[in-house]
Amino acid sequence: MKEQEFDHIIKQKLEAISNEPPAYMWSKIAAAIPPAATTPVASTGLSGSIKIVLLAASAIIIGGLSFLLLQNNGDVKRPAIKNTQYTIEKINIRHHKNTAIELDSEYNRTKSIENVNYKQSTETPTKNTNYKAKKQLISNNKVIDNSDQDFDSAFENTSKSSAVNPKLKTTSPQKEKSVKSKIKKQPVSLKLAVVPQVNEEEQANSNKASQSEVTNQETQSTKIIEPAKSLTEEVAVVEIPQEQESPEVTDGDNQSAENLNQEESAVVKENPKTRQLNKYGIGIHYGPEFMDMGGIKLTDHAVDFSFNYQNMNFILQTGLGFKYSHEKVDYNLKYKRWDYIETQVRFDSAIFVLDQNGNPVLQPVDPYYEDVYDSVRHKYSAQATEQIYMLQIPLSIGYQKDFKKFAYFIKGGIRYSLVVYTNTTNLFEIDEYSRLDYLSYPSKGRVKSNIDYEMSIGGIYKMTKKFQIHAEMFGRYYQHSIYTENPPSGIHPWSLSGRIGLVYLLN
Amino acid sequence: MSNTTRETSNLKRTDEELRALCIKGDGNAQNELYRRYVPKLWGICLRYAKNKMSAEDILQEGFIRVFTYLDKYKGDGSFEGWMRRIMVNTAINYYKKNLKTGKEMEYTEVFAAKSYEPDAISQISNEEVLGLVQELPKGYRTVFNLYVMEGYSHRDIGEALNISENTSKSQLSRARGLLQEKVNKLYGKER
Repeated sequence: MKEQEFDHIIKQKLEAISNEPPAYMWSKIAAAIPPAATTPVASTGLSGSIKIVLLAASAIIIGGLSFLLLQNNGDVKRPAIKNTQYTIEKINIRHHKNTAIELDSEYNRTKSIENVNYKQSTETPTKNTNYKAKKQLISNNKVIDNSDQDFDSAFENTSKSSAVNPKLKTTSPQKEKSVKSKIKKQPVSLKLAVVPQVNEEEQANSNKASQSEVTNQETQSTKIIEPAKSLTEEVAVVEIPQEQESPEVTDGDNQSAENLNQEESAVVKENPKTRQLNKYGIGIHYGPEFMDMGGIKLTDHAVDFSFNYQNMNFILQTGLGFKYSHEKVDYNLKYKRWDYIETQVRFDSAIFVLDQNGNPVLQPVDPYYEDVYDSVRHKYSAQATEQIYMLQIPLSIGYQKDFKKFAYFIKGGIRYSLVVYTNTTNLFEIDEYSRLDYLSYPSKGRVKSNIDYEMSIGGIYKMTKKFQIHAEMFGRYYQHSIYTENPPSGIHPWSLSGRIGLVYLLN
Repeated sequence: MSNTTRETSNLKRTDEELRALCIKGDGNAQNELYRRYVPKLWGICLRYAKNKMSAEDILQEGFIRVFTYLDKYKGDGSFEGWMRRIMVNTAINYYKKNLKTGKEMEYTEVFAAKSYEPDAISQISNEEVLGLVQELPKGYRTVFNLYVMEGYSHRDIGEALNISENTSKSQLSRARGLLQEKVNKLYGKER
């Protein structure tokens, strides 16, 4: 009987089997079907140790961020302003003829000057103020005409009255240089919302929030007081010298100077450039590392979460990283296995019979079959993959030069590595019928912890105000060999690596 | 009457209709699909498994894969064939999971070709043959199933199980030898 025929009979018999699994099988399957059966369930395949490490890293990152944010919040101090609450709503730049009264409706013609440093002097419209210029443009429930002409004429009256008021302190570029500001050649319009502390009488006359708008004109210094929709306005005075790139504004009055300082501090708090002195960011990076150690070359992969700090040109970076390293190891295995050899025919007795030629032939009586097993020697030579997972803590400082959309940096530091998990795959497995005779498994053995010194140069592309792409190249020198024994423990490894990542600025 | 009609129409659902309903997560359709194909697929699981418990594991994992990847079936070939392949692949994975060797193994001994006894194997029942197959060592059993039942070549088996062609041939030969021996023993007892 040939093998094919044997196979065919077996196949027929096996295929003819028709029975059903236990009834409870469907309930088990139905319970295990994922809710969205059409969506493959992604499995991270992470082992328990890695999950623990990731959880710990998340906790550290969240804790660090919370600490930074809390520190940031603690630094915020509101300027103390007596009797008056100021709210800087908007700062505008625009051209205007002689006067600089603007209406809310004209905001669409204005341009934000977030990037312009400015200083202003403002006098508080309280009882103690030396600035008594008050202007009543409209009465209760009267809508302001938004035309420039009306406002120009209205403002001229106001300016004249203010000019002759001896108590009105105006600022002049020729006076004491107490505040400097840089203003672009574009004319500037400053709009301030002033909520004065008013007495009951004033409150009775005005229930709306005061709002003033101060505008600079390009050709001459002006004093601008603009009530927008309120009945009675306490106004602020801002003087910006004409055609000066860096005008100096002076306020000789002590009271005004005090208020000025208060205003200045408020402005400084809001100044974007000042705010950017301390930058904090978090990022995630990936990079391969090509290591060389006396001819042994390894390629590792690292992912890290970073904390970035920058103050002017100084940068500091730390964080938490994970590195995956793997290498092939050869091993030889020899073992003996109790294997089936053949089936022999056995019999206890036999008789001789004569064949057709008359020759005697031994004929067994009641033969039976018996399996013959023997110990068979096997050799097994293969490669196993040793996987090493490391936790890393880097710390580096450096210099960074910023441009509008790009930046470059150079930094150096150290990195601490700790092996947290190792695994060997594709290793042998012998069954219960086998006996291991010899195993040569030259595991090199990784050192538990190591320190490397790193230098890097890189560039930054600023995608938005908040997001940046970082790319850098590292050179590293390890303090210890990565192996505990076998090859070559005395050689210090070095490596080259790249790293690219995304950084989110927290402020 | 209406219930009878509904049941009749349910019975007439095509594989395509059932598949569409299963993709939407219809539990009744999933159950119907299961009941329709489980007898054949259960046989596959039994052949690849050492025992009933392992067969249940393979069946469960295989059906979960079927329901998970139903939308991946493009209509190439029969639906039953597609499910069968999934079940066989599940069995192969089950084999790999429980036998991590997967590397070249050099056998120093050579098995001589044996003659097979036609009467003996014809005399034993189908269930007995299944029992004999299940008694084979898992490597032999898997190779034998893939070669004899699924029609895989030794090269395909080698790729599927991560072993060499020679190992596949060797294990198939061993499987046949063991089966024949067991058949003879069983036949001898019956006789």
